[in-house]
Amino acid sequence: MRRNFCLTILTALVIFMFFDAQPALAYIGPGAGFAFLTSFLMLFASFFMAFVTMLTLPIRILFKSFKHRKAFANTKTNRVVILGLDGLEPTITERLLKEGKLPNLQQLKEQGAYSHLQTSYPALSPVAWSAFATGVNAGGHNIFDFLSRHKQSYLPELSSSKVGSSTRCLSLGQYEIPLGKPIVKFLRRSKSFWTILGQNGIFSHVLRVPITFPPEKFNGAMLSAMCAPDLWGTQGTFSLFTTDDSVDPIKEGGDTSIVSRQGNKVTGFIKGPENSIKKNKEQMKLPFVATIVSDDEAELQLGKQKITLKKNTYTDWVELKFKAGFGIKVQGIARFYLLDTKPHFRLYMTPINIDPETPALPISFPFFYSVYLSKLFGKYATLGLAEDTWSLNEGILNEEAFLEQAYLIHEEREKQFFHALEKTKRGFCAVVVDATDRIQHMFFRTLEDNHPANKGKETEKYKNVIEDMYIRMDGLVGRTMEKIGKDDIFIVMSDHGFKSFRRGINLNVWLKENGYLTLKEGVETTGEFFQGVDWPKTKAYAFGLAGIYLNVKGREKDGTVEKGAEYEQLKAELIEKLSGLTDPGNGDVAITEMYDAQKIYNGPYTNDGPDIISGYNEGYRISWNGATGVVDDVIFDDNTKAWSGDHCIDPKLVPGVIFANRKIEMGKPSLLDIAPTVLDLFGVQKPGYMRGRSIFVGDTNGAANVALPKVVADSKAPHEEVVEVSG
Amino acid sequence: MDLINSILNAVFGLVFMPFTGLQPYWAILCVSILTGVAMLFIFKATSDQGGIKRAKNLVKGHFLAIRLYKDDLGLMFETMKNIIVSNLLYMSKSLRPMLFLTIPMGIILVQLGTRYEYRPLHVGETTVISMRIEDPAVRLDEVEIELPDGLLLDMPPLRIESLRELNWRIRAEKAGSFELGFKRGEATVHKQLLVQEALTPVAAEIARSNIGVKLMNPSEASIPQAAFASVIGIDYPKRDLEVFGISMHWLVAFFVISLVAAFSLKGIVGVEV
Repeated sequence: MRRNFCLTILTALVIFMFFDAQPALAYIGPGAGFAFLTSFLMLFASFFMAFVTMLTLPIRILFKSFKHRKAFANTKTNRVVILGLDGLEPTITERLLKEGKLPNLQQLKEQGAYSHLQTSYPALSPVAWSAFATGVNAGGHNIFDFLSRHKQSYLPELSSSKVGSSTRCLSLGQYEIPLGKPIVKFLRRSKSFWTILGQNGIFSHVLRVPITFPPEKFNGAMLSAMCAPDLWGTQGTFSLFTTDDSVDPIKEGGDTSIVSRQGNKVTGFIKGPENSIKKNKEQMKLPFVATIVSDDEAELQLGKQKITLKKNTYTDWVELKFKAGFGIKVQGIARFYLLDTKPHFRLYMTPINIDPETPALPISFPFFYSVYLSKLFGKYATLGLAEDTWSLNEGILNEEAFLEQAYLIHEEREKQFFHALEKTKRGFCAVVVDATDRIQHMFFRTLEDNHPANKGKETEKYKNVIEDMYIRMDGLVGRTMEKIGKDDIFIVMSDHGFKSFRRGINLNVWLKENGYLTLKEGVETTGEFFQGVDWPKTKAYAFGLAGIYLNVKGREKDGTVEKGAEYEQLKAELIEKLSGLTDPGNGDVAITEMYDAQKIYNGPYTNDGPDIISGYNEGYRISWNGATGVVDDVIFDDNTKAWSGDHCIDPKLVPGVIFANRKIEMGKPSLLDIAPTVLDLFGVQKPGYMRGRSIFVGDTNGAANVALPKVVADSKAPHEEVVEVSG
Repeated sequence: MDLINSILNAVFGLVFMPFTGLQPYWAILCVSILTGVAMLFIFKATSDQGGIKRAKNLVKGHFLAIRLYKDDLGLMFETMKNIIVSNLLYMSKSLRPMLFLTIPMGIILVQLGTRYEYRPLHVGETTVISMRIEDPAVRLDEVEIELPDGLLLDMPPLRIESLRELNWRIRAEKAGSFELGFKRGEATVHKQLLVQEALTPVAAEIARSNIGVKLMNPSEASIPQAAFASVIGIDYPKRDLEVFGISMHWLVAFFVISLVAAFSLKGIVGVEV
C-alpha cells in the first residue's frame, strides 16, 4: 500500500515535471539513457544486420537455387518430425495402449502405424542412435559401445570423441600458454542423413540426438547430446559437500568434499577443471561460504552471487566462473540441492555442465546455437548424460530428487524442441528425449516385487513412476501432434526397449576360470580395467558392455591369438560355450546367444569392435565389476543398485517401438531404415552404403538390416572430423 | 519551494566548492561521473534486475536468429517482429527505475543548469534587464531602477505596454554580486546580478508565482507575493563549455560523461542495465 502510494506520488511528480519542464529537462540522465541507448543500439544493430542479410539474400538465393536446384523437387512431404523417446519399451507401451492410458499414441497408431523397431548390435544408445543417424551398423559408423579399448594399453577411451589440448605451447614461468586451439575429434564415422539433407538444400534442426559431440557442420542447427562432457572432462561427476568426515567415499560418478563449519558458516570450495594454462595442471577452485539460516535453509555465497538454498529443493542453474589466470575464465553451470543442515551439512551439486552461453567446448552447430537457445529460454543442461543417475545409485540423492532433476531437464528439452519445430517451416526436425531411458534405468526394480535392488529401498511409493512417465510422454506426443500439418510426417520412435537387470555376469571371471584369461602370478583379484592381467598369456577378455575381444596378435599390444584359423576356432569355441550359459544360482539361461561380430557388422571398422557380441537373456547383463574390467572370483551376482533396468541384452529381446502418422509398409522395420526413409521422403537419393530402405514403401522380404552382405563404406563419407575450437 | 531550493543550493554549493578556482569542465566531469555511479545504484535498487536481464537476453537471442535463419525471409521478418516486441519489453522494464531516477536527476540537472546554462557578466559587458508586470493597476512609468555602484544604465528604459514589460540596458563597470532595486513609490523588489569570472549559480529569472521559473532558478529567492512585478529577468550570456578542447553544450557533456561512467562501472557495481 505504502509502496503504491510512493509510486503514485513519484508518477505525479514526473508527469508534472514533464509538462512543466523546459526542453533540457526532457532528458533525465543515465536512467533514461540506459534504457533508450541500449534499446536503440540493439534495434540499430538488429535492423542493420537484417538489412545486410536481406541485401545479400538475392545473391544467396541465386547461389542456393543453382546449387540446390533439386531441393524439395521430389519431396513427398513438407516436414519430417522425429520424436525419439530413448528406451521406450514395446511391452509396456502395448499394455498401456490396451488400457487406454496413451490416447495420443493410440491415435497415432490408428491414423498411421505402430510397429516394433529392430535395434542395433549391441542394444546400446550410442550404437543405436549412430545407426539411426547414418543408416549403417557399427562396422560402418565405428561406435560399438560407450567405451572403446586402447589397443596398446587395454585401457578405456570414450568411443565417440577425443578432446585434446594444443601441442604447441609458450612457456612463461609457471604458465604454459597454448599457441594453438584445443582439438576436439569426432570419432563416429560415415555421414549422418541430416548432412546429406543439408547438401541437398534441406535445413534440419537436430536436438540432443546421442553421439553428436562435437557437432557436425551441416546445413542446419544442432545441439549435442550423449558424450558431451562436463567441465571436468568426464561424462558427469556430481559433488557432495559435507561436514561429515566419516562419510564413505563415493565409489562411482561422484566426488566428496569435506567442508568445515564454524558456527553457522560452512566454508569450502568447488573443484573446477584442471588449469590447462598452468604447467602443474592444478585443479581450479572456487571458494564458497554457506550460511545456515535455519534447519531448512542456507545461503550460499559464491563470489558476488548469493543463492538461497532450501532443503530438498533445486536451485536454478548457477554460473560457476573459474579463474585460470591472465583474465581467462572457464565457465560452467550447476544446480545445488541442500540435503541437510544437521547433524551434518550436506550439499549436493550436479556435474558442472558446460555453460551454453559461453561454451568451453563446441556443443552446438552453429557455435552460437547453444547461446541462442540459452538467451531465449535460460540456461539448460548440456552434459551428454545430463540426468545424474550416479547420485541415486550411490544413495546421495533419493528417488524424488532424481525424478525432479530428470523432469527439470526434460522441460528444458521440450521448450527447445517446440521452438525448433516452430522454426522448421519446411525440412527436418528431430529431438531425442533421455528421461525415458534414465527413469527406466533407475525405477525398473519397482515393477518387480522380487527384484534384488528393492532390498532396503522404498518400492511401493514408486510403483507408478514408469507408467506416469509413459503417460507424460504421451502428452508430449499429443502436443506435438497439434503442431503437425497434413503434409508432415511425424514419427515417434525408440532406439531399443527395456528389461529388468536382476543379475550380473562377469564374463572376465568366466574367461579366467575357463583358461582364456590369465592373471599375473600372485594376483587373485585385479583392479579396474585389468590391472594384474597377464596379457601375453590371455586369449580373450570382455570389455565394456558390448562383448568379448580376442587378444589378437598384431592388433592388441600383447596379442596371442593368430589371425586366421586360430582366431576363427577360438571365436567359435567361445560362442558355443557361452551361448545358453545357465546361472547356477537359479538355473535360468543367462545368455541366449553370443553373436559373431563378423556376421553382424559390415563396413571398414568391423575389426575395431568386439569379436563376439553378448546376447544376455532378460534379467541379465554384464555385472558392474565385469563392465569395468575387474577380475575377481564371482561370475554371477545380484544387482542391488538403483540402476535396475537395462537394455544391453540380446538385441532380439529389446526391440524399440515406432509410431508414424503414415502406414508403415515394411514388415520388420529397423533403425537402419530410418535414414533411408527420411531421405526418401525428401526425394533425396540414399547413398549406396546404406542398406536399409524406406519404411513407407512396401516390402515383402522384411528389412535388410541384421546380417547384411559385406559392403565397403562409401569412400566419400567422412572418416574423421576434427573440430577446432577457441578458448 | 524557496526553502527546498536553499537546502539544495547549500548541498550543491559544497559539491562545487572544490572546483571554484578551476576550469568549469572539471566540475561537470566530476559531477557527471558521480551522477553516473549514483544512478547505477539507484537503478539497481529500484529495477527488476532479473526481468531486465531476461528481456535483454531475448533481444540478443532474436538477434542471433537473424544469423541462424538468414536464408529464410519469412523467419527473418518473424525475427524482426520478435526483436521489436522484446525491445519494448526491455524498455518497459526500465520505466520503474526511470520513475525513481527522475527526481534526483531533475534536481541535479537544475543545479547544473544554473551554473552551466548561463554565465555571469564580465566587466565591460552589457545586458538587458526585463520586468513583466501583470497587475493592470500598475503603470509602467511608475517603476524606476536603482543601480548600485559598478553598474551603469546604458540607455533609457524601454516600456512595451502591449506586453506589460519594461526593459533596461545596463553595463557592468566592476566585478561583484550586485543587487538591483526596482522601485514603485514606497515598494521595492530586488534581483541579483552577477559580474564575475568564476563558476557560480546564476538565476536568469525570478518570478512571483510561476513554479516553472522557480524550479529552474533555484539560486535566488522568488519575488514576494505582494510585489508589483511578476517576473524579472536578466539576459545573461550563454556559457560556452569546452571539454578537453571540444566545445559543446553542457547537457551533451553531462549525457556523454555520465553514460560512459555508468556503462564502464556497471560491471563493478554489478548492475544489469
